[in-house]
Amino acid sequence: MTDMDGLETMNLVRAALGPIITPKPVDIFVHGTRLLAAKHGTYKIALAGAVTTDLIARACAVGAALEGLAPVTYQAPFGAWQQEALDAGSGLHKFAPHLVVVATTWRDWVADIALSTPAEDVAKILDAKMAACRSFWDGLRKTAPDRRIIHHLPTLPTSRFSAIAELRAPASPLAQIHALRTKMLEAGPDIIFLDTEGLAEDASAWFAAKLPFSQKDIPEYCVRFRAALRQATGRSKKLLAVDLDNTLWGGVIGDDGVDGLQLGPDTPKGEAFRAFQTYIRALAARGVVLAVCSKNAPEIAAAGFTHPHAVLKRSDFAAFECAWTDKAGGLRRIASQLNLGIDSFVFVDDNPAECALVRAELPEITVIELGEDPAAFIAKLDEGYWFASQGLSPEDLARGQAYQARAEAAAAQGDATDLPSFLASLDMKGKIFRAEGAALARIAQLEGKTNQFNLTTRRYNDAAIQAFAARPDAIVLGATLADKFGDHGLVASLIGVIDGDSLVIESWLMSCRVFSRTLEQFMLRALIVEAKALGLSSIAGVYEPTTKNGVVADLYPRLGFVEIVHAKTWRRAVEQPVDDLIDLIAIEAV
Amino acid sequence: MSGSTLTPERIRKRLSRVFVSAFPDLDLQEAPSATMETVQGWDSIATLTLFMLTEEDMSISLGYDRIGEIKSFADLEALLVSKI
Repeated sequence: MTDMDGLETMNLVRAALGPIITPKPVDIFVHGTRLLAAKHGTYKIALAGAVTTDLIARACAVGAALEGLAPVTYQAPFGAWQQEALDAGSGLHKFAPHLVVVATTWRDWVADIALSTPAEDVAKILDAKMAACRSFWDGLRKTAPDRRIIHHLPTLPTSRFSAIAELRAPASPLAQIHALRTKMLEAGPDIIFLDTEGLAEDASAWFAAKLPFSQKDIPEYCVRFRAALRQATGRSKKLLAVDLDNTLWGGVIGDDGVDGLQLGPDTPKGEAFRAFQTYIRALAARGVVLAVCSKNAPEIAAAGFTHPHAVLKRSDFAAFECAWTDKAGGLRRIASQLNLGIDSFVFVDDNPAECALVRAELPEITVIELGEDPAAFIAKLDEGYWFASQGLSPEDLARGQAYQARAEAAAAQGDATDLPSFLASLDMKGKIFRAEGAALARIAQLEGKTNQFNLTTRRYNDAAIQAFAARPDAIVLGATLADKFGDHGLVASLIGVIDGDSLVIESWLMSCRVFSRTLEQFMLRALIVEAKALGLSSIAGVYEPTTKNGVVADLYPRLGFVEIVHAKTWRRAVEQPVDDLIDLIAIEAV
Repeated sequence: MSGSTLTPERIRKRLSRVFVSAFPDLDLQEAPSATMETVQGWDSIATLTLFMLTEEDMSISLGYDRIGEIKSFADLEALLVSKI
């Protein structure tokens, strides 16, 4: 083994594992060892816990490589996780990781208390543990507030003792961990949890080597880690693109007609296709955007959704790309229609050739080859935790409806003669307000996910945003937008900090669903009013380019800002007349 | 496969393949002389991996009791023979 560059090793591992979702244990060991030995990785991962982290570190390194990050890892001394967090001079803090993985187990959290301890006392003990956990998390971030934390949500202890009675005794280890899992989720809205439940404990591996779970489950851990990493780095998948024939139903609609399709209770295959449709509809209910990408004539394809046993409807899809041209082209058109990054797509198709073509043409898309057995489709799509999330916001729950509204609005745009008259016809109403409570949590979610309309991509987390909101010299604004087709909810945010006589925009985000609606002009007008009220003379903003935020490269000049530092810092005087900021949004009455 | 059909030569051959799958830079012929000192990347986690791969390949349970004593191909081979 020679010293290799981190990026080179990452590419080698990606090429070796190809489209494999769950690598084999030996692959994780071999490639993980290579990645740990590589020099000059760029994404720093620290591991801390009271378990042996060497094997987990390999799985994390492989997971990071498969997500396109060249990892470099640091393993905190065994068992010293609390000290490493709280001491700003520790090895962990010196390493300055982007991400910390906290690998604790139930053993670290169970309090050794008498079984007779009353419920109120147990609750107090667990609350104290959570307070310690909170300061541990805060400690990990004391040298970098935007550091990401992936925390293992502990498995339930395996000994059942008196079985059901354990669940009824609040002081039992089982009941304690049940309660702690819930308390952890409540106490850490800014933490990415990785559930270790279901990873089998192996007592001899624990006693011999302090492995937190069986080596055989390291592949499953690697898959779960990748999902957590995507959430930690704003790479969550947002859209599911589906083929139609032999994917959503059995048969070829162009040949077999609607009546000839296998769908529904008449055959086991038909049942399986219907179950797959039900699964997809459940994903949509959780905020996953749906699109069709199929080689078919559009009107014939749409007829498939009129089948009496169809669970999905034509209107469940935000985009419907049916053409005889290649699917990569169709997927690109979906991305541009919906303003979504193509790397947030998961594409499923039964046909291996189509899958291979899309992979070759669009390597950034996750392609799932479903194969021939519809009974296995759900498991194949579910395997990668592609749509894993830490919480569902009201916006997630309403997204399907919002995209339907958007599709209708786009159709209406086809009818309108020009953009201003189209926008006027939407009857848009907006509201800009100082964010608090749930709105702050929603803004943190936008910070994590917004890649395009994101001027600085600083990814402030929940705690950081709350801190801004609490500062007398900072403002956190939220913006909601509704139109005649529906309420889009909180779709944009802006964080400003006073610096001298200027309000500096630290972060400005907008959901891609409401691009080109004049919402930026509407927000800037409100911001100018705020700045005036604060006695400031100008508003300043920075554009920090990424590979994804080109859409806002010219935002500041477009909004009448004057260049201060070439192509980076911009300023607009608050006294400047606002006639240039034309918006077509009515202020929503509070 | 039943243990009785495994000759010492076959055990050595199969264990060599296990070693090469865990250490791809290792030559198949050199595997039997491998030790923790001579193989880069052979740490305690590597030993655990070798145990798992050997158990899978031979359909046998080695247990972890003697894992600390295994420092070479020859050690693992001896343990394996004692378990068959």
